[in-house]
Amino acid sequence: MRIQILGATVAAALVAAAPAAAHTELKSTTPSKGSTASRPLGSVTATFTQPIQRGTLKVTGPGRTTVSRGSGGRDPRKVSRLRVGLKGGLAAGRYKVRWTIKAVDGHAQTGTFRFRLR
Amino acid sequence: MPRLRSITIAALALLAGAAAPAGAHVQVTPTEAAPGDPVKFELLVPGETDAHTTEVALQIPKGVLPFSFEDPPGWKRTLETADDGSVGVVRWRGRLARDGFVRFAFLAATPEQEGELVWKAVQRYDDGAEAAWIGPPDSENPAAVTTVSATAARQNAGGEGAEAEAAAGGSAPADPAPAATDGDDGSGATIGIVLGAAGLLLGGAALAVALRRPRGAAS
Repeated sequence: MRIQILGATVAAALVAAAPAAAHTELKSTTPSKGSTASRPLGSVTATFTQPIQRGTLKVTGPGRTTVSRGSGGRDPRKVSRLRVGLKGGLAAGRYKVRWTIKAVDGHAQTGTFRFRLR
Repeated sequence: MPRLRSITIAALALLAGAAAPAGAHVQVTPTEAAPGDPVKFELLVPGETDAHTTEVALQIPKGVLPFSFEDPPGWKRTLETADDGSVGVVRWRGRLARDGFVRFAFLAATPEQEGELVWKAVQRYDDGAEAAWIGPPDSENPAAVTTVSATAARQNAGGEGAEAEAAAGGSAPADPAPAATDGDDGSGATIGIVLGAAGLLLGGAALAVALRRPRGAAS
């Protein structure tokens, strides 16, 4: 009985510890985070847990060269997704994607993920 | 003759049904908003004196992204998703006093482009009548309009600071230090954990006191 109540108290405290704001988070990407994709690759996308107002994607490849075309933007077909086109003739190797978003509540966020091309 | 009478009654009923809703208009405020801004919108739905409003459906204009809703007591809300994953229609069901009104407030990001947001709404009554507030501004049943203009004051109803605005402002942002945002999120989480731990301690102490007291009183 006492243990049960204590458990409930602990659970309540843990819930209280969660961040106050309903933050938009990165949900999935293509290619997926840490994966190895095959060439050719035409575009990179990042999908978030909530709709976003706007955002950018920048993809850099081997030798830190920028391989994305323009700065990307929200996918017209999905308000929670960013998309950017890639240049042709990409080399095999490690790629890094930097994303920036402005969430619907106005919160600006950035992050990165990586993938490999073979 | 009886047939004529019944047709006349039916026609009168139809007329009455059609004429009734034109009285008090459904409104949306603010009527002016800044582009790309989280804004608190309010849909005001006045009742009719001869029927109870039981449902209000609001079509969200394209480019508007609602993200938080205030639910008035006694009303249930459902969201219908549009093709692009945004909220397409918000539907509230409840029962309004015949001479009452209800306000549905919600937070939504406005489109990045200037223009007019046309708020099409359908109001249903318990007598089966329906008022479609979808017409032009000077019509019998006008849809409410909000003008998105760069000269309108920003609300920033999401509560985020101006630095967020600056960080996301440019279309081609400079590569900021990744640690900046990560650190920010980290400190937010740390505060949460500290508060949580404090809550846990207080909760535990209160529990210990509470568990001891009744036992002492009972024995």
